[in-house]
Amino acid sequence: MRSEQDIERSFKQANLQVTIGAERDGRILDELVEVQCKSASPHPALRPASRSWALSLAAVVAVVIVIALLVSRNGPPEPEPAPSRPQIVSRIELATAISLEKAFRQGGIEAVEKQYKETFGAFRADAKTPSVDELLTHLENEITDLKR
Amino acid sequence: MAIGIRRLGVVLEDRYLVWRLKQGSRDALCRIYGKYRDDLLRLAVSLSNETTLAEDVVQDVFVAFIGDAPQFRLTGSLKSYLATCVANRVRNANRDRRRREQVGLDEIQSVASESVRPDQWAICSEELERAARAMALLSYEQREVIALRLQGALKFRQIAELQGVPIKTVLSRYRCGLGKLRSLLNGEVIRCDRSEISRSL
Repeated sequence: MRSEQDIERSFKQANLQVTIGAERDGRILDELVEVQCKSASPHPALRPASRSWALSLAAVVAVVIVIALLVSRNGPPEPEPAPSRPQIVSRIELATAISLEKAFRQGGIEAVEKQYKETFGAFRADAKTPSVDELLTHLENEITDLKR
Repeated sequence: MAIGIRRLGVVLEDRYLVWRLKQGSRDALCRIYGKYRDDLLRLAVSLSNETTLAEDVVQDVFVAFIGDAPQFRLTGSLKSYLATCVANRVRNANRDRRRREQVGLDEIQSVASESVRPDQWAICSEELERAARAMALLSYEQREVIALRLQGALKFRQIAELQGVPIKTVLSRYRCGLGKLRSLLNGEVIRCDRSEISRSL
């Protein structure tokens, strides 16, 4: 006579054997693997969305590259040159001022006289011959400008 | 204590396997399949008393489970989850079968009358066939409670949720069904009437 505990125990699988047919078992496992592969692949509805997203991204990148090329070819807008202080316009004046100052420091007014003659003798460009006082005044102005 | 630790180990292993399965691991798929295939077939045979139907149900349950694996979230025991799926599908299949029976579309074959098919998946032992035949004599609700409790390892509370009845009803179905099984397997048949149910409560 079986008790209810025996029934419970025997129904808990120990004696209830089930043998598995290998052929169909293999087929079912193959089917499950196939189902797994299908469920693991990305959803088809998402593909067009991602493709369009990639296309729009590529378009944006292309536009940015074109803009960058155009900008680099034309170059960036150059800043306006800062107003510089008035410079000595002619080379004769520059040469005269510098050389006369040097001569005055080295040999006084005589050296300035000598330099004056050499300078105008070398260029021979100016028909008008300024006096020594004019030259000294000009020289002072130049020195003041240089110090500024 | 040892049983608790073993159970915890099973739960942790199941969670790990489900996690691997969601990542597309074929090994996890094979492991889950091999781990629960026999239990689910046994349960389905006990519930349906029909090997062909049991095979189809278990196959469908596995296919649905693997197909939904990326969205699946394991909250309890994997075995209980799969057993519940089997019970639901057997119940639906029985309902369909009753409908077909009413219009005389097919004949019902029991486990005992089935011959071995060349592509048979589950070949039941004599003990299992006897148990399934005895179970078939119970009401479906009693059969479901006993099979889910003893073979599906579900708690009475979970079975009550599945059947949509109070837990006391489930307990009475269990006791009554077990008593009837004992009588059947001992060679005596008794009726489990209302008075017996009220006594068992």
